[in-house]
Amino acid sequence: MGSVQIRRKTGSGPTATDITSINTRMNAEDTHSTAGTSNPIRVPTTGTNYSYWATAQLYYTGTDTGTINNLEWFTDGANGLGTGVTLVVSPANSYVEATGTPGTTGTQLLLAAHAGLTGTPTNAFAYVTGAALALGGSVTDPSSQDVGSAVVLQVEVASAAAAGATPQETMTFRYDSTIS
Amino acid sequence: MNSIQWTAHYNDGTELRQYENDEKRAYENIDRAKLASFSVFRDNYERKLLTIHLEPGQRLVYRQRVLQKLGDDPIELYLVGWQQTIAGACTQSIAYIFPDDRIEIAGAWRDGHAIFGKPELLEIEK
Repeated sequence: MGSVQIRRKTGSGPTATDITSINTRMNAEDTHSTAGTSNPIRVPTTGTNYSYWATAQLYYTGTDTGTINNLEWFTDGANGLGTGVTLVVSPANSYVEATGTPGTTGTQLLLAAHAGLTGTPTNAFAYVTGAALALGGSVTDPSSQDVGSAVVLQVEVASAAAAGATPQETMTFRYDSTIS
Repeated sequence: MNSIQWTAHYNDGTELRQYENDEKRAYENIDRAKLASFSVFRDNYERKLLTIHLEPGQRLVYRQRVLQKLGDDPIELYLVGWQQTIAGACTQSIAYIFPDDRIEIAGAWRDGHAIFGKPELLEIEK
């Protein structure tokens, strides 16, 4: 019997990293790290800077018979990232590599910039248990493969933000399975 | 994780066990035409948690429901029950088995609820 992981995808490959049991940092670089400080998002003097967008997706490791479906994603509903820092999210049905200027800002996550998005990115903290973000897709008889749509996240940093690492936030995936 | 094992009991006295003789059977392969009851166990069939007895027209619904928070252990629930269509309306009775083996039973699906929300039913369950 296999298992389901949360994976973050980065780079042109892309490279998929199992982040189920750890954290992942969203910086101004397209790299997974748990505490990287090489390329932070620069706090702008005016306007908004962005993290490189982060792609997270469920992945079934192993081979089995059955169905995984009814995917959704949610937060705790409270933006704990601090003044001037927000987080947006959208589902995506395909992967697009994040771009930007390392150490300064990522490219803003917009429908025009990410061909895989299935909706306009919106406030991630609006998605809570009971009002979650529905992710499309399912898998039947999985064999080491992605499960359903991905979520694409981006941190937005305004001039009011303080320098330094923000507090940590969390996200939850929910899914149903007949494999068990 | 302490997962669940199931057994489908047929009306001819036979049964289909999810795990038997190093073989794993799929939920989708249960013969619903002769399904009489459905039992779930923990600890490799050593501890029975629940048996659902099905009346004619009641369609078995079974799911593992997982909430996976990043950085935490997953929370696994199991839905075991039935759905029936009467005069064009679907009714259901579902037992929700929590990780501590607490069992709660609910009827109508609750829209959007992380635990009591409706699963995406398979064709064999509709």
